[in-house]
Amino acid sequence: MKRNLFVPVLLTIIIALFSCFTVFAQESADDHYPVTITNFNYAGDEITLTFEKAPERVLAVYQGSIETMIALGLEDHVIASYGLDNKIKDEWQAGFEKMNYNDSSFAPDKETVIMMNPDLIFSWGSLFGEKMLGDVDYWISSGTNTYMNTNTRPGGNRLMENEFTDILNIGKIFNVEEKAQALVDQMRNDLAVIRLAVEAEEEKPVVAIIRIRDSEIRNFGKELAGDILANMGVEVMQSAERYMGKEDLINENPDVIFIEYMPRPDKGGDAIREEQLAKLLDDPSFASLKAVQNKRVYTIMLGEIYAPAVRTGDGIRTIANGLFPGIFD
Amino acid sequence: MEISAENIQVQFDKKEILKGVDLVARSGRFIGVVGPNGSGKSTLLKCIYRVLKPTKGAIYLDDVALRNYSAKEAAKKIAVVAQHNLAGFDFTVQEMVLMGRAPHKNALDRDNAHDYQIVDDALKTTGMEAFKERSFSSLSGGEQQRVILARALAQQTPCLILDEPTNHLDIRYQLQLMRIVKESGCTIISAIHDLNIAARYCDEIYVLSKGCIRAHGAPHSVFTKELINEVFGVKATLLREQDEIFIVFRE
Amino acid sequence: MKKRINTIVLPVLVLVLGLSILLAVTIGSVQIPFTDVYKVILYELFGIGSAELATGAVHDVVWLIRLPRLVLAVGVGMALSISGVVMQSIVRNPLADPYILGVSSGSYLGAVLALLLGLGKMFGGNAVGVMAFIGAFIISLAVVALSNVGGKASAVKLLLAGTALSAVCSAFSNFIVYRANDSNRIQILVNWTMGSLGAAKWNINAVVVPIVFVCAIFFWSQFRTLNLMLLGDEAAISLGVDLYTRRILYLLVSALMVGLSVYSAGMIGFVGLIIPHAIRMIFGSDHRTLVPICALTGSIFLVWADVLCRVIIRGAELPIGILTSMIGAPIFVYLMARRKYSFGV
Repeated sequence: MKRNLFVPVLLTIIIALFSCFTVFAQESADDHYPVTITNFNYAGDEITLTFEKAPERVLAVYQGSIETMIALGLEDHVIASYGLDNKIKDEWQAGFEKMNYNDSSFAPDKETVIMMNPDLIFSWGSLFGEKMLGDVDYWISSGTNTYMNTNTRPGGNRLMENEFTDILNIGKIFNVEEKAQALVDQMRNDLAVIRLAVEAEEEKPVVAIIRIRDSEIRNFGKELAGDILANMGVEVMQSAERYMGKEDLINENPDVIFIEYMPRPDKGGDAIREEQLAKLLDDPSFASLKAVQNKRVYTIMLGEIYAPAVRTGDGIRTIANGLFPGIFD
Repeated sequence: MEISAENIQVQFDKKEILKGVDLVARSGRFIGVVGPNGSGKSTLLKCIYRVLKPTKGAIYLDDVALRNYSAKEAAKKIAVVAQHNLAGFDFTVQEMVLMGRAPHKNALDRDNAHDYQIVDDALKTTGMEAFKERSFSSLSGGEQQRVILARALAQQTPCLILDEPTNHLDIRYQLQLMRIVKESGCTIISAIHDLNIAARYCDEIYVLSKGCIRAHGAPHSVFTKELINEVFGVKATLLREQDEIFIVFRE
Repeated sequence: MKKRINTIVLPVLVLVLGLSILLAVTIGSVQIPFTDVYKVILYELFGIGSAELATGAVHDVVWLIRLPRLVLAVGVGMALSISGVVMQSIVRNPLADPYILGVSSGSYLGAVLALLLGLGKMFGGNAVGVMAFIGAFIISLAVVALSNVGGKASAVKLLLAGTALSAVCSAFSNFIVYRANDSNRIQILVNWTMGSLGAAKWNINAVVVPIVFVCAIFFWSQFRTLNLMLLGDEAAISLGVDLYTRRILYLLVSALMVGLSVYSAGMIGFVGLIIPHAIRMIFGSDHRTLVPICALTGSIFLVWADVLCRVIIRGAELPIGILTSMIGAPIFVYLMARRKYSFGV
């Protein structure tokens, strides 16, 4: 593959300048509230939320919710947080210490949440069930707003754009739109860089993001990970379904393979990365794959491609560094 | 081969079913066990064919205690005709009778021409040879009983236990079955409901009442008006003709 | 009649099984010409042809992916259908299947413990399979032990013990699953309950398939006792077999076979019910023919079921348990409608 980086780098600079300009162009926010936001209920239907002021008693459940709050500098608004899959990144550690993180359970139950008296519950769609946090409709009717990560709602397409929208929406709710916009712009910039690099290629590489399990292969190409790849302009291993057989992978024979892994600290942490990688590289039946022979096999954390929120950018960079090693070093 | 039961006692929980029963069936004799329902006939027979273990007492085959035989060895000595229940499965008549050869076989043995010959002979003896390929469950109760008898014959044992064998049979087949077993030359112990049939075919009769032997001996000496009234609670008139005896029941 | 079945039907079935494997190995998502497929097989089996055949995509697909699956299909199909036959005899009920005496919930609990609580780490890669095997086997031992409480185990007591222990295992499994918040692993668990031959490897087959063969031959040699089991305890003992010890022995050997199939392929439903059932209807209940015919038919059925689930959806693989149930359930309904059943035990 030809790697001409001049054009992408130039474009990055231009886009970065442009986004700075849009930040300054925003008006100051004395008349910011009330804010209305569109989000979803537990059934996946659209609902409209109204905020009269920035929420002060936020319950943040799940990795993406916690990290979004920290990344936007909103840790002081949080009364309790739950549910980490992965370690918090070093840059967010200071903010995390103010998050009142509770590891007694993955998510509090409805009673506990009622006693907390939150004014915003920020979580994943699947956690708003009756046996978990309680239904969205209940909370709205009792005066507590909810916000679920758009890509975790029931139904609907899993799109990269949704992750950006979520970050911007949270920015709007807390009146920190500049910060939110800057985060999203950074991600868009990275994406633009990688897209240019891909366009410069004569042949678009076919990319797979998968996990090898004992008796099947889990393919992430038809969900958010696939949408990120499509936004980069590479070919996604399209014909394959969510669960495929070994032979299906050999039939697709992608140029580059990303092995998904989840380094939960309680399940072995980073050792899991090697374990998952070995399932592809140590299996003789995969020896003929192009990606294996050309040593184009990389790893990517599930947290960077599955409702990643503020880690969407990390996902983009991880994939970019695999496609064009060193592009973001 | 002689079968003897010595002081057989059987208890279920606290209830005494048999209270010390002695019985001897000398070689080649046809022994009938009679008694009202609940008298312990079936229990006694089940002890002899090893389905029940007596609480006290022992069964002997020619002076060797039955409990010293393995199930397989015992099945080469004693064959049984009893009630049956196939519970949703089916075999052909031939397959059923062939099972009578099981005690003579080891796990890896195949059934050879000799075995098939024995099966054919047994079916012929019981008049069921035309039913060989028929499914067992499609037969009438009487036909099934004759197949079970054929299976017992195919077992080629010196002793035969019949647990109320004529229950399902028409009178003609009741008599036929009794004649077949009598002609087999085996030592036979049979529980029999019909006193006339018992009197007609048995060499000796044991009368069981409330878990004890009430009377024992040749039919013409055992069956009396008084005994039948006492044990079965019915009035009867006995007609005697030389050695034979006919019992007529009255209200 | 008997002789005809064993001298004609059995060789025909062996031939059909052989041809099925040879044909099935040419079918898959990767298009490979017939001749290339057989060249690889001939090279691997007999060293015929050039060494180039030992590497490359064609070799890997044929020799490392398709053939191990098919060989495992033979083993698992045989194990499940023979276990079905044996279980039906043990509990004297034509509606019994290999999992009836608690084996399914025992192995499910094993899998749940491995997947959601991380037990059995020392077994390495296939901890789920090993734990499922252990679960299946332990529950079989427990069923035997429980059914012997208060007098010797009878067919009815075995059924009761199996039902009771199943309920216990299910309750604990459900508790763990309910408490777990790892939807990823729960998804793996759900897929595991649907069965798959996708994990087949030669080193697994080398353990599973020979043991299944030995167990199959053992049960074939037991045809007389299996027949007697259908007559019940009293008739059996008068024909020289005390079923008490045999039931326990058969239960454990069967648990070994089912445990191995669960270990290597997860839960595959309906094979162990449908195959014995259909064969009984055609050839009768005599186990001297029933056991070998079921063994071969079960193998053939699973070989083709595996082919179907590999090709039925392009680019994806259907769990084989879904397929066997989708084929098996309607057949079962048809058989039920055609025949009167007695549920007596």
